[in-house]
Amino acid sequence: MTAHEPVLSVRDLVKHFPVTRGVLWRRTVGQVRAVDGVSLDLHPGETLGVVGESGCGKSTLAQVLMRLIPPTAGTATFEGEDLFAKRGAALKAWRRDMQVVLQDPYTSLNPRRTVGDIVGEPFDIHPEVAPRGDRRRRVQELLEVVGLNPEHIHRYPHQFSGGQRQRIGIARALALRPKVIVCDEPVSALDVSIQAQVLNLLADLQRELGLAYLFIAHDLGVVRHLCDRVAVMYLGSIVETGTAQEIYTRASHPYTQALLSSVPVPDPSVRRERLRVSGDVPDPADPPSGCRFRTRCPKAQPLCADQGPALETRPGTEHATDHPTACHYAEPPHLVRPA
Amino acid sequence: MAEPLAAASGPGSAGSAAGPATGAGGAPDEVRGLWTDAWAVLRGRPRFWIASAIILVLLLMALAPSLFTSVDPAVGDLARSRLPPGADAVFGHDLQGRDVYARAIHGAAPSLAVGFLATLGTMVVGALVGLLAGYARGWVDALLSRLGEIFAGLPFILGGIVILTSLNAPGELVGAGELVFQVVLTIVVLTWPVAMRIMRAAAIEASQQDYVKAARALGAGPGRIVLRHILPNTLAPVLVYGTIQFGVFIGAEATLSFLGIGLRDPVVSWGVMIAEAKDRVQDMPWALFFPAGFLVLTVLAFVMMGDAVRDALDPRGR
Amino acid sequence: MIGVAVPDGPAPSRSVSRLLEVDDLRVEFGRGPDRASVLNGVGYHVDEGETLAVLGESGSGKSVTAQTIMGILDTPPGRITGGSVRFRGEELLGAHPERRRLLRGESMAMIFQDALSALNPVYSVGFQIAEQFRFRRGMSRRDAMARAAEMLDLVRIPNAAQRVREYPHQFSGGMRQRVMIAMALALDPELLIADEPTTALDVTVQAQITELLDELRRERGMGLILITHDLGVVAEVADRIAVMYAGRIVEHTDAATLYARPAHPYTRGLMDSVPRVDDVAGAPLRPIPGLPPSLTAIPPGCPFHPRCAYAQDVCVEEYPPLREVGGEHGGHGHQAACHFAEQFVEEGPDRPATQEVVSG
Repeated sequence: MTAHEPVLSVRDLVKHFPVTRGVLWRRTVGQVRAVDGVSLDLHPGETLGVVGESGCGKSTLAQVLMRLIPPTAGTATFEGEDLFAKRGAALKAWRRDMQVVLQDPYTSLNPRRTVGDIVGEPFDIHPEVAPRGDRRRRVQELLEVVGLNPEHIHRYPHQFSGGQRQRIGIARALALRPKVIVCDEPVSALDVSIQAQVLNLLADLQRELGLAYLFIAHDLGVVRHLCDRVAVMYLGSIVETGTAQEIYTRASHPYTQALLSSVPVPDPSVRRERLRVSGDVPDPADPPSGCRFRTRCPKAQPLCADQGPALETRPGTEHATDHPTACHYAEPPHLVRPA
Repeated sequence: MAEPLAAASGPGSAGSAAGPATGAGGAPDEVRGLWTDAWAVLRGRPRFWIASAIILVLLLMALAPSLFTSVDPAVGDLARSRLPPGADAVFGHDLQGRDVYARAIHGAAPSLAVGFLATLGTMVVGALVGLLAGYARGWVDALLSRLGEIFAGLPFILGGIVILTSLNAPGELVGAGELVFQVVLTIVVLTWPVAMRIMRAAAIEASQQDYVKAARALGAGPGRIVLRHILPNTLAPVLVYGTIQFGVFIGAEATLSFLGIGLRDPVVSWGVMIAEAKDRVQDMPWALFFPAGFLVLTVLAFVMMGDAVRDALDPRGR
Repeated sequence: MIGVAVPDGPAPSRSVSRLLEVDDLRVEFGRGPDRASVLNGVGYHVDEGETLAVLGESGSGKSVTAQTIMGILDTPPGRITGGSVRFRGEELLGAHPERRRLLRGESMAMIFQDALSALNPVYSVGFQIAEQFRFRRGMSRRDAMARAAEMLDLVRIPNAAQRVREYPHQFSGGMRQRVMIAMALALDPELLIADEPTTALDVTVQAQITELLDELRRERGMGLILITHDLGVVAEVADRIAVMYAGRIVEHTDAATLYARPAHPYTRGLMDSVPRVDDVAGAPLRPIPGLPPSLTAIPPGCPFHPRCAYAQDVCVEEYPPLREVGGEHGGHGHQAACHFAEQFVEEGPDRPATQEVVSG
């Protein structure tokens, strides 16, 4: 497998949750379209950021890709093999290659087990990875790698701070030497000064171990720092995707532009125009027809209600972009000189 | 494959390795498990020692009543009927002239046996069913919950009467051991749904925690998840419930004895004594107060113990 | 309550007394070995029509200060051990509880981070707002509901007249926050304290709420205390910023100066560790090493010294008081609690030049 082949490839992934009514006999009255046709590629050693606000489906996407919940439709391949077809021993073996780091440092670790047990559990579940006698050493090594004191192997999670608990979660994810780690908002629950520590750690680990990250976040600043490529999600689908450079300097979808302009820049000397987004995120069980963003979009036209825009570059048209964007009226922004 | 990972470089890692873990001392760690930690906490609580002392005495009473009294509890001297507490009988005599103290001592064993076995039974049955329902959810949960609701709907006294009279025709002579077993069975059958609901709620909450998701992502099977992740985190509420129920079940036994369908002569338990004495509180209050006092003391001891144990088991992480 | 005799506060002094002044406030929690010094001499002030941002991470004491000002601190386990809080010259600590209750809502109001738990789920939104008008102003039920609808309109909730009858769970996060703001402003207070009002919200909604607070402050001439850990939010709306660490103020100045010439290493560390949308991609973040101190064991001297790259012996031995920063670039009300504040201030902006920033 060359470095250009994606290690993880997703096509038209769909996940709907049924909305039911009734207590004894449940009737399905609708569907929450949490993920509604997502396609992406993740290459070895790269970081793909998936950014969106709450309700956009990014966490659901992560859970489906980690095979924690079944997909409704769509395909995914891991190193060329059908990911959703894996069962039994093959599924378990695959788990060694793809791991997850979760968001909440306070619930992602079993409070009744020691740190050593928690980080060592992957070895208990996959005994072929490490011989029994070697486990303790490996666990201590992992703790050291993430910047924790290996002597603390017998402590319980409540004796650690939030940032340290995230490191424990990262150590656990690294134990089986995976190729891909899905990071589901790993720093959102941490204080600002600790976020930076954990982000640096993730970057270092990626460089040393050649990991690929699927990095899910709502914070565009964080994503910028770690990600090679970015996909922006809104209400279950990707509205724009490209390299970090393309997204941050030439964002063409109104939602991406709004996101970028809403993130406050910690520098009062920088003045920016605000692209206003009005109203609230629509109900994912009843999304708008055509383009889902049209109800809040300052550019909406009648075409937007009729036709859902495809995620593409539209070459040769007046709305051509250099990276795929799902907007009929895609337009890279104007540059604003700082005051 | 065996190549060691290099430690992450940068000021961030060094800083946090040096940073103290909040709340813990800087001393090197000895091997510590959840139970050794819990024991360390328990040792420091006076509540635990008091409760333990009382329970130990009660156990001794149950296992070796002759240590406390040499009087035969079944022997009644009518000449001494309703004599108040005196030098030779510290708790006085009951209606049939039997030594109340001796009866109270001998009553410990059946009372404790019923309490213990009934608690054990309801906890085991309730916990198993609750775990299954709470973790599996779906139709399994629906089925088990409905089953639990049906049993919960059975009124205790009526159900007790039905079960116990079916097992023994009135007037039939039944051995002590068999009686105890029947009473325990009745209590378990009629009260297991409460433990089940507690466990189910705790299991549902535990199943939704991120650490369960992480375990599944690692490839852990349902057995491992239930045993290592769900069960330890759901034991605490069930345990506390159990310790409280201990006393309640002794009281339940008293109710059944009161109705004449539970333990009865020649078996002596505190419930039986209370049932016998209730009509004559004016005449011989000591025949009621002393067994009731033992009952209260026992319940108190177990509740205190349960409190201390629950505190000790809680890693104070929430 | 109307008709209940409440002791009056002292007659407002004619001299220029600030809207709110906090002076050397000290609060402790717990006893014995678990005694935590949560506030160690906090002082700041707010005037009418201005926004003071209180910036700090968890454990810095920013919320406890706000609760003490409002008089809603749980006093066991908390204990106020010193200092003063003055509203228009009137001392609040030790004032009659009825007086404080009167001031709450009428003169000072607070909004919290989690609107869902701050609103009672069993009453309609309109009912909860109207409650204040009924009890404090003696309005009839109908009039009060009408006023409640007006308040919802004020905070830019569309269809206010219909939505006034809805329940909290029927609103989205951002809308609930607006409802909470409407409730807080119902009786037209002079001071609004916002404790992390946007932390739990999505980015696009955060921007809306921050702007709303700013507009309302200007329209009503209120003093606004904005408590947050988000440097970006602060840059947009704050006139002055007070940075808190380990229960004390470590730097206090106007927003422009703070960003251009921070005088305290903690402030600088915070700014350097925040990933920015307009940063150069791939540049490593410079985090502050270590962890904030446990409040039961605050380090001697300067509490920040274990994490400070510039710490000297004097930093361990002597506690640096909050004082005016001197030197050529100092003065003008810029205060910092560092022995070497003047040197840091001289260094000025040490960061990469501001990039071209894009907008829609």
